[in-house]
Amino acid sequence: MYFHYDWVAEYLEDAPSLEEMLLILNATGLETERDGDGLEIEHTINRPDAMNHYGVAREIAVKTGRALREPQVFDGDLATLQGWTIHSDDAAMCPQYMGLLVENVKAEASPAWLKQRLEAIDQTSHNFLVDLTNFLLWEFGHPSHAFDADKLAGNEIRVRFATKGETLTTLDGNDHQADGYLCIADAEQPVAFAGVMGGANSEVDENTTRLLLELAAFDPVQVRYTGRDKQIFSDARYRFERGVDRENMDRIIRRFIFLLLQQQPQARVIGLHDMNVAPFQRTQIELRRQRLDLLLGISLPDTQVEDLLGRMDFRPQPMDGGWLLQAPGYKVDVVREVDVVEELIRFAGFDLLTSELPAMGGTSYTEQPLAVGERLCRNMLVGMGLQQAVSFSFVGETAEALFGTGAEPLRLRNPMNINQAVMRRNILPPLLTCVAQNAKRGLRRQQLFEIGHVFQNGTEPHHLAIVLSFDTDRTRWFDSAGQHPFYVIKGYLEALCERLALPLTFKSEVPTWLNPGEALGIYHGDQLIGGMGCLAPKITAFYEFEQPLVVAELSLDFLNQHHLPLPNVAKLSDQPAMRQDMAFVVDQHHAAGAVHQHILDLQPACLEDLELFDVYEGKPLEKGKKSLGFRFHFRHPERTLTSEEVAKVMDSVVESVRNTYGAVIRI
Amino acid sequence: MDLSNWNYEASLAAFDQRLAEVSAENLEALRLEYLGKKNGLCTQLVTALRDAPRELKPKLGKDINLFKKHVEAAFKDRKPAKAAKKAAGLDLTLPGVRPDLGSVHPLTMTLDAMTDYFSRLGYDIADGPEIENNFYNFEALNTPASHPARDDADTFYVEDPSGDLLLRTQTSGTQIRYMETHKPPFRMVAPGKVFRRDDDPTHSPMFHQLEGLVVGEGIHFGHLKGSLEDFARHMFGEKAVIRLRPSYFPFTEPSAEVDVSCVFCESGCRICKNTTWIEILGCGMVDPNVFKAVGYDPEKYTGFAWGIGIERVAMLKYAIPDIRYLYQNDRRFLDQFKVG
Repeated sequence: MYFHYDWVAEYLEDAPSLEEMLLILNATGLETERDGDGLEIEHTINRPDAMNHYGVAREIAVKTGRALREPQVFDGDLATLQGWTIHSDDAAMCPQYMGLLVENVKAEASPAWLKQRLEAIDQTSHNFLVDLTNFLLWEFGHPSHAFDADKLAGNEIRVRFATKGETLTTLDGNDHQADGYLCIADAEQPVAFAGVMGGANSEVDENTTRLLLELAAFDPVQVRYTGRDKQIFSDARYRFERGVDRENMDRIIRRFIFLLLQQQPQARVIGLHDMNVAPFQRTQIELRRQRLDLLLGISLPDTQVEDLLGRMDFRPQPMDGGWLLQAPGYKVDVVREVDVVEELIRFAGFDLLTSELPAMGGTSYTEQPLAVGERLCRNMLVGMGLQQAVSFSFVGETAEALFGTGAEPLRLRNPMNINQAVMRRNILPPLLTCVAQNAKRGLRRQQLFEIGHVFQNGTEPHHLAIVLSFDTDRTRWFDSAGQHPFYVIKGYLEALCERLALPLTFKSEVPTWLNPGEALGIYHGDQLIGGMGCLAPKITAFYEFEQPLVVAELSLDFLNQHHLPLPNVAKLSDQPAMRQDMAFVVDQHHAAGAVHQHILDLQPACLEDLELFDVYEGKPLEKGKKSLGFRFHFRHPERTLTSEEVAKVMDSVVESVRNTYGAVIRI
Repeated sequence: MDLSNWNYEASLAAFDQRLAEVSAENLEALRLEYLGKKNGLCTQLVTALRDAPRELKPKLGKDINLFKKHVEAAFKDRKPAKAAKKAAGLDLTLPGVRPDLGSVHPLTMTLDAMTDYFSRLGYDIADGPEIENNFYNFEALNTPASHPARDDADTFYVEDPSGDLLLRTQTSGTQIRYMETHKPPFRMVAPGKVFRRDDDPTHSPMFHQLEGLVVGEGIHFGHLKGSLEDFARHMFGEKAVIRLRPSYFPFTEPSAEVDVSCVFCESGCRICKNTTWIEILGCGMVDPNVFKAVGYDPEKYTGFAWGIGIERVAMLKYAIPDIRYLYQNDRRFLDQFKVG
């Protein structure tokens, strides 16, 4: 909001320079930047009192102790307006409505001084009568409205909710259904949305000679509802929904008369009707010295407290252990003791405060296995060369549906675009969107993982996703490396399971977003918690992936109940190890994992470790056969093993594998 | 070979001289002349020793043995030259075969630096839901439906029959949840994602915040100021100082905006817009209405709260020019965080 320096300075004795004003206002919490010959202020919503030139000057006066120069007002007698009815249906909606009737006025061009004032703050000059109300808005911050009194039916003003079928064309030319909104009405119809915008039907124009000036107070919430629903962003709405100073209303009426008569001495002030069904009363606030000191951690001297309170017009009266205050009308948000404390330190300055670290009892200990587990996962994946990603929690509905379980996704009522329309139930949809976009930029090789919330049936489980995207085309990659990328993603999962001692199992039943036969389901007990491997073809097609790509996605919520095992160190044997390699030729359909497990289940004596070191198909093996090369590591805890002993154990292993799988030893 | 004229010292001297004079290419030939298995001098000497007069054998044997050892050791010493020659076949400038370097996301790096600091001071770390209801996101935080801060324009709402669900606009809701389940005194921080309808080079519809809350008896504004000063030094370096400016938040009173001295300049630059200060967080004393909403006695307990945007700090710290970089997961971007 823009304020002109000269205008602000007009209300101050010994006005500071523009540069000084900037410093002073920023120190009081009005965020101010210089803009030409003026001040651009970004107000917090609690500061309607400073959304006008007088209010900005008042802020400077309180901060610096300067005196305010009060604007001139009409100080003659004011007759009570006769022959007009002004009524508020609900005192809470409109506690006060001042209607001032003046006649023999002219909607002529404004004088130069008025035009200058308005133009200096980028306001358009219309005619003298309208400009005057606008001037008052920028002088005191209280919106007023000028009706052409001849256009008001029945000499009546009624503040009421519009009824069914009633409409209003506002000054900006837009037509509205008025039904249910707080309006100003004459004897027949609505003539303005209360506190938001006037109607075209009662507008002041070049023929206007009788004017009814409205200066009123409205319920901020109703003003906000009207403005929001009707999408009207007016200066009046902006101020009314933040609150107006009811103590200043009388002065604004007199200021209006003063300025009117100065320009149009022929104008006749007929009278003022002040409908005031809920007179303003200052809120009494007790400010306790002990509370003030407790919140600030320092003790401001009595003189400073009283001086500041006086300058702000709190009318402080000493009482036992503090002061009794009367909150001034312009401080609309100061109603409690703590609000006063804020006002005091705002003007006294935070620089006075001490700096301490709080010393406290209590405990901060809570066991957080999920957080600890997640951090371990993250550190480990980074250590294995993956890059941590962060993608959006919302995603396009089409992409999300590919991963869906059939149930409806959680949709946003007001998304910013269709690609952010539903909440993710799986991290992959938004993450793969990034991967696809990056691939199109020529960055095919990506090794990403992400840990974050997903949204399912009112819960927010924590998930982990891994995406490995390779830079070579599928055939070449297969040929050169000789292994399917599935094994790469499986390796990461196996390593994670080992590191965190996770009780997870992998089975061939997979979630729908994976391609059976190239993927495994991840199970915690009987529960399917995720999967790994190649994506279902429809998903690969949707993202237009041309590069080989494998993924994993699983819930980490089981970590909440998972405790990392403490290493329990076994005694190390000093005895030498014996190593024996053995290759079994079996039918291709036998799974290597099954043979491996079979050997382990035999519990061969002194077997320390068993590695599968070679899988081979092709010549000289028969078609339909494959060779599985195992490396056996033997060690006895207390003595050196003999070759004969090991040979005996190997014989029994070979025998069993031969019987179970029809294996032949490959030499 | 006749050993009667063989002299240890003379042989040794002769060998040393020849070795000293031999060129690199003739070295192997010399080695074979002396140490060749079949016809090398040493082999010949050992063979001849068998036929030597019995009385000379002990001394000759000892000398021959010493001589052989000397020759062997001498060739061994020359070996490095030979090894170096062979290794010259490697192109040592070729890149090493190395495992991939992973990287932590810059937002996590920033958050970790913060939560590590607060953990050290004994702060608890709390997690809260990203889909909140009106009570936790607004009402309990002293922001009733009529409040201008509730302008719909900012908030994402979720389609649900109750009409009550929204994407949290701030992590402050976690404060409420924490207070409902804990008794003072305590101190906690709550990191997480928050959402606002905004999208430009400095605003993202999803971003991250860290929220801090300290509640106890006798907590005052000086504690807030001291805590943030210490935090600023931790995040921005020993010389960092802070400045508090009065501000407004519905859930704190008094409230302040906190600026930290610009870490990039001393006299004004583009980043601090020539002010030497950078706005980084909002804070204040917990509003008594917030305590009432969770059943704490505001006469007994006081507390302070603050909230900081993680993106802003990360962007400042790592000179990230566009907030959207943070969510595109472009490898060229992530690769820059393999360091640090």
